[in-house]
Amino acid sequence: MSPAEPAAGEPRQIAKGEVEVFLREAQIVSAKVTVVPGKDAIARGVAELLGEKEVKSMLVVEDKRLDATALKKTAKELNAEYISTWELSEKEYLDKAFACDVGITCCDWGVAETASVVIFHRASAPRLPSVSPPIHIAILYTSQLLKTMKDLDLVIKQQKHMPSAVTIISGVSRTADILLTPTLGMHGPLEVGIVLVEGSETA
Amino acid sequence: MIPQTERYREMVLKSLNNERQRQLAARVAGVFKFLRSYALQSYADPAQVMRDVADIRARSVENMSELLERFEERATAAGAKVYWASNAQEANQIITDIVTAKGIKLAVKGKSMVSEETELNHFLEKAGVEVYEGDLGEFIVQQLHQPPFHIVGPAIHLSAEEISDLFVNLMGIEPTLDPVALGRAARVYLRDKFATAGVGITGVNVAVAETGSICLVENEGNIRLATSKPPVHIALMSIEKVVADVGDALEAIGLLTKSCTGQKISSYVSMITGPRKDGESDGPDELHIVILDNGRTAFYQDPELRQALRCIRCGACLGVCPIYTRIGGPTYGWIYSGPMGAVLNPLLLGINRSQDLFEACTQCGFCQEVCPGGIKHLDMFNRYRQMVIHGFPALNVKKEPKEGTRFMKLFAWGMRSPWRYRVGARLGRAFLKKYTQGGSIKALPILKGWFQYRDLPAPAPYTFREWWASQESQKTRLNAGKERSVTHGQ
Amino acid sequence: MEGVSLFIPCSVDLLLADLGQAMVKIIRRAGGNPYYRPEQTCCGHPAITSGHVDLAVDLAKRFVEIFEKDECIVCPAGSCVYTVKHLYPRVLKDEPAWQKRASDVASRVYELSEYLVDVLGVEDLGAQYPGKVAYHESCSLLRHLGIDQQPKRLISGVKGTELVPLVEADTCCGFGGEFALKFPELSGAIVGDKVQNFVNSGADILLLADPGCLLNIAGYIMRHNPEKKVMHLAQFLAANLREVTA
Repeated sequence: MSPAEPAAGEPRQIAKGEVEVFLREAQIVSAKVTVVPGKDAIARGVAELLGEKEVKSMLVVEDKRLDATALKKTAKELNAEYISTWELSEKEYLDKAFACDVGITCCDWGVAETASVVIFHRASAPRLPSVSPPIHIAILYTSQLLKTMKDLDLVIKQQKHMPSAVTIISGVSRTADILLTPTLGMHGPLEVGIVLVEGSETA
Repeated sequence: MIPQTERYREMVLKSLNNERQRQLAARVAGVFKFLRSYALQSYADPAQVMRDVADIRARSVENMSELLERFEERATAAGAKVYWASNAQEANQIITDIVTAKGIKLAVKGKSMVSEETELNHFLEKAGVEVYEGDLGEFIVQQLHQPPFHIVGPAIHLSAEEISDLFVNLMGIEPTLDPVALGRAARVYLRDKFATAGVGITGVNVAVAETGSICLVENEGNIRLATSKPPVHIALMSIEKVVADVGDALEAIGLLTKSCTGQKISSYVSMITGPRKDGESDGPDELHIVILDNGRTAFYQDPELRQALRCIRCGACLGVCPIYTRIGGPTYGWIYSGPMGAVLNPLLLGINRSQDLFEACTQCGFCQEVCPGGIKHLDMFNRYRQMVIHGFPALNVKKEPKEGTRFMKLFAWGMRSPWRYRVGARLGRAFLKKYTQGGSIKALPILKGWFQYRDLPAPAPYTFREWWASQESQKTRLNAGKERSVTHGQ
Repeated sequence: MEGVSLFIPCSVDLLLADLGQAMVKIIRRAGGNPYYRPEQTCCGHPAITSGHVDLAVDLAKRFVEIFEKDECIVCPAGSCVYTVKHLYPRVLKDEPAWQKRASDVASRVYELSEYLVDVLGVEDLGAQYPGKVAYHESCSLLRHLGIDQQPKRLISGVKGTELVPLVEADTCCGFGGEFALKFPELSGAIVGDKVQNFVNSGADILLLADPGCLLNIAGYIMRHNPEKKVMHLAQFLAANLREVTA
């Protein structure tokens, strides 16, 4: 259970949790979520989200919060090229970011009320892998799940320095600009998958 | 878009006679109205959030100069370059100079009302820069050289055939009427522009003084691409976009997206603070922020008029306005339409030339009920009317003889005395009775507008006061007190 | 029994005396004791909304002088109540003493349905009408005064009456005073849609609670849909009161 709303004047504490809300809201914004029991199972979650899709290449922002070895194995099983952002020159990276089929990134926070994943972009977390590929898979730990945007505000307030960009992603890119027809997938990802990892990213 | 608010009246008639546009305006507005009211239910207490955000907007506008100073300081500290432009020409010049100095030939743009205000694209194109709007709807109307139809859906007035024809010509695709396929075609076509553009140009939804950040709200991902890949990012904002802190920004954005497209939050909210930092492999090397006044500080001096700056461009007022829903956006003669336009266009373009926009109001108050900024549209329109009647030199408003002023003077004079009122009533009622046929009046030599579409119910045979004097004064005696008890027929 | 001062809008006095009579009748049935101050004329609404605010200053002061003796003031027009409650502070903004007096009076001014339901606590007036009615939410009540439930409660109190849903019940009828004269085509389009929604609702009678909307919609119906009927709620209630025997 998350803490109740604070009384007037009392500072609000960062409220966490609400996996059910996150799952419900994710459906509304057309993000596919798979819940896995721990870091070891992330690669399995990714495989499950990709299912039978034809994936030629996956661009992975390697990070200690994901198991790269297992992911490489998954890529192999899918017959997809595994590309780590860290093994590319800047130019190669920029080209790959526009050419690959899947971008896989970790996240800093999640927000349950809107099924958002939040990325603080910095040297270890580039911007494009979550926006330019047709499929984005985000790795989010349940310990990173905040209840509301107000909690995200509190988290941001604790930053000593603002990251050059904070991106709040809520589902797939979309438009209704032609005939008001809701269309999933516009310039950003056509599909968004979230691997929700039970436990803490620091464990 | 060349302002032509003077032509409002004429364009109203054209729009009303354009059955397709009329139905479309109504349908679009109906959809947005429904989405908004549905989305608002996701708040535990929607009315409280409306009050909170109105309060945020009021505070932000009241403290604007101080907030802007802090914003400039923090944004600069984060590595952004901040420019001040007093008018559209200056803003366009600053931006064009940045772009041409670097030899940039290709720009991608995020949808931005303020860049429409300055007609930036036109300016850049004249300087030899190719500009592509990234937002699908904005891209379509740009390619067709049309003004946006709706602030949220610039191209929703176009049929799939029209868009297909455009794309066939532009991209060489097979003709298709499927909106999804058309969207995909635009995705493919614009990909290359995002990948190769030398500059990304965006507006700003909210600027945060505390952190020097700019917040951008979108669904398509074009703004994220435009602010991640090109080496230069230029953001153009008007002065009223600034708020105190991230908390205010997030709360306002939450209500913005619910009011606008009925989403709890849009697909993407980007909070950008300075250019990329050392070691980052993407994001722009340079961030330029151009802060535009364009006539705003002039009316800011007036404590009542400055509330116009609380507008967050959500478009909620459009969806509920009985006028907008019959005529659609382009009728308003400039980029801001609906009640939003009736508030902003007179202040930004001139009250005299934009009179019909605020005169064409039934005073139903629906706009101010849904306004996240807490703008009191009816007070604003009333104020504009007063300014035209009396003149308002501070904003160069010329006093204009107003149809009806002489009548109003006579009316008010008559109403100040019960005696004159009774004489006027007798004359007026005799006049009406002369034209009464059966139960109604079909036409009069005056009030022609009324009789164009309706009759007037025949006046009752006597006035209320005559009836009261003859019947009721016998039964009830006027008793200034409340305690007297009289029984009636029970 | 409470004494209540009748605030009769000029439109009602001059054109719609029967609406005033109906109001008197139902207030008495509800247990109120209405009285009328014949020195009243017009609250100034048309002058204020057309921007001639200066011309309304004396009218606002007259209103205050006439009604400030009264404990309770009731009016069958949302727009006139709105004028007193929300526009007078604007009209009298340069004269704080008058502004204060005006807001004192305004706190005792009630729209008719509000008076019946909230002040007198009456919802069933003993009326009976076997048929279907629809209710148009006049902007002045719904949005300017926040009165939405009271009229519906009074309608529910009528025996045999079915209140049917009306599409876009909460949108304007297109009257807007001067607007109807200045932009006849727009006004005509809006009232036309309102009447079409009424016809589609299947109701026999359209009820509303503002004389402005009444004149507008009734005028349109007379020309285009003469088989239909629109009434002020007070007229409807008064016309269908059952006789009370002692």
